[in-house]
Amino acid sequence: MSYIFNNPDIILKLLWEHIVLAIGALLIATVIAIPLGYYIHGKQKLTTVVLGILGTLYTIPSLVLMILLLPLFGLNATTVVVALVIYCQIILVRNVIAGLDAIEPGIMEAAQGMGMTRAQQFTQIQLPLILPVLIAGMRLSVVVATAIATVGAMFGAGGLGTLLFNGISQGRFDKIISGSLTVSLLAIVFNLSLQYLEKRLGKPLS
Amino acid sequence: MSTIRFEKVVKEFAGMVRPALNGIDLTVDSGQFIVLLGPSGCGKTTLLKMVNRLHEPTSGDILIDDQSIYNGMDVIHLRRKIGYVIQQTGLFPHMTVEENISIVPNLMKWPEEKTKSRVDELLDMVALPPNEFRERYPAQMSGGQQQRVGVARALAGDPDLILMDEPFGAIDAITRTDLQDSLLKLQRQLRKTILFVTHDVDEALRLADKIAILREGQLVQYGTPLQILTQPNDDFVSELVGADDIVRQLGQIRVETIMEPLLDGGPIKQTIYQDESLRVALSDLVKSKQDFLTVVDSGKQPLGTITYDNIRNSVG
Repeated sequence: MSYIFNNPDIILKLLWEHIVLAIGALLIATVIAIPLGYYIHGKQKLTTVVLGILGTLYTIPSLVLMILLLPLFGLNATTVVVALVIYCQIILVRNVIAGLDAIEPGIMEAAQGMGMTRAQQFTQIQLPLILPVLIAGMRLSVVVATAIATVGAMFGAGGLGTLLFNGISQGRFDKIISGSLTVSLLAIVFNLSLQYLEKRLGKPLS
Repeated sequence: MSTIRFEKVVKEFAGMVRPALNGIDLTVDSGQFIVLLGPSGCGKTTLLKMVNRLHEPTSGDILIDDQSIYNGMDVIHLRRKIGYVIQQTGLFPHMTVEENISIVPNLMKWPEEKTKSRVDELLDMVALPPNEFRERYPAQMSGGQQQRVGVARALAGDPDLILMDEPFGAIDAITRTDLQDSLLKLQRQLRKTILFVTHDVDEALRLADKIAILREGQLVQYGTPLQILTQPNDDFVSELVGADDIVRQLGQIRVETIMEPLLDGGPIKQTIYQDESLRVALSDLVKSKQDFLTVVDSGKQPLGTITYDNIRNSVG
């Protein structure tokens, strides 16, 4: 613990790197997952295939996935972010589809019947209605990303993993403990804040 | 002004034995309240949804004001000019009452002030005090209130034509009667062309200027409630509407549909509201020991008279 208080500048720098990795990956993953989920929603076969592939990717151990991506993106943060984006896809796409499925058919029929274009139906009706479910997915995703980003330190992405790996090689338990604590705390903060958002957005619906 | 003409409309769905609609010819005059009535699977909802092109016909044509809705008419534009009410209300749960009603005005890019005053006007019209209901979410209202908002939303863009797909189907009997009364009153002021789908015979008889009865994709009869009750085309219609039960008939026909219009002032005797049924009129006649009743509107203005003879001649 005392390591944290004695080296706030190091901790803050690594913490910031870690946040950028996790949030950056989350945002990129969300931007990909929304159109992907929207497109495959309602297409049974395609949905099964896409979710199958994403589910399989999710089972690849993080170290292995990053090593596989290494030749493509090099020894830097990009490799790590790409890996995190891939892990988040299954969670997010699945939630986008579940959210769209949960919208009462009458609501979409009304929207269509009143003369909304497809784009207006999406931005004004579907997106706001799936938001609570989407944010639940983002919450899980960012926690997963926060955990896995720790491994990123081995690939030159920085972050709080640096403390862990340094600690292990130097036999410095204070570093290991400080790193673990900070990562855990970060994950908890992400989780709580998105949970709050999720609840607030879900309110008028029930 | 909005007339609708269905011309030889056929709709086939893939994998179905018989066509959902098999050559429907039907003309709806402007300002009329038309009920499409029939058992489930008769094609009434399909027919309705063709007017705003949620379904496209396999063959045939539909004309609004003598203009085909398929030739050169933009489907989005068409839909914005037609009010649409559906059974489960289809209200958007994440939007307030005000936002729900503002949908079409916003799509049509009305100025904000105009939309705002329109929302209040409509809420008044459907008997929901604006100050109390404007900011509510659908989940904070009863089913009946929600459907009032549904009706207000359909009227928002001031369309000449309104489609209603079993709007009161999921609502309890007492509230349903309430909503029917309000709709009748509203229609008396607004004179929209309304196409209303139901499988509820009583509802059809109560509301319709004319009823179109469908069976297995075909139009079996098209006429006023009175014609349908007193001159059913065949056994199917007769059974569907219960035409041989005179007391029931009396309970379904509105006084105003058979009254004799008031020619001169004349003496005003006991009054009866124009939307009351013949059954009530008969009962009032017997009780009051009068020869006739004076029919009045909601403002107590006399509209006509009704006698024993009128009632006797009206029923089969």
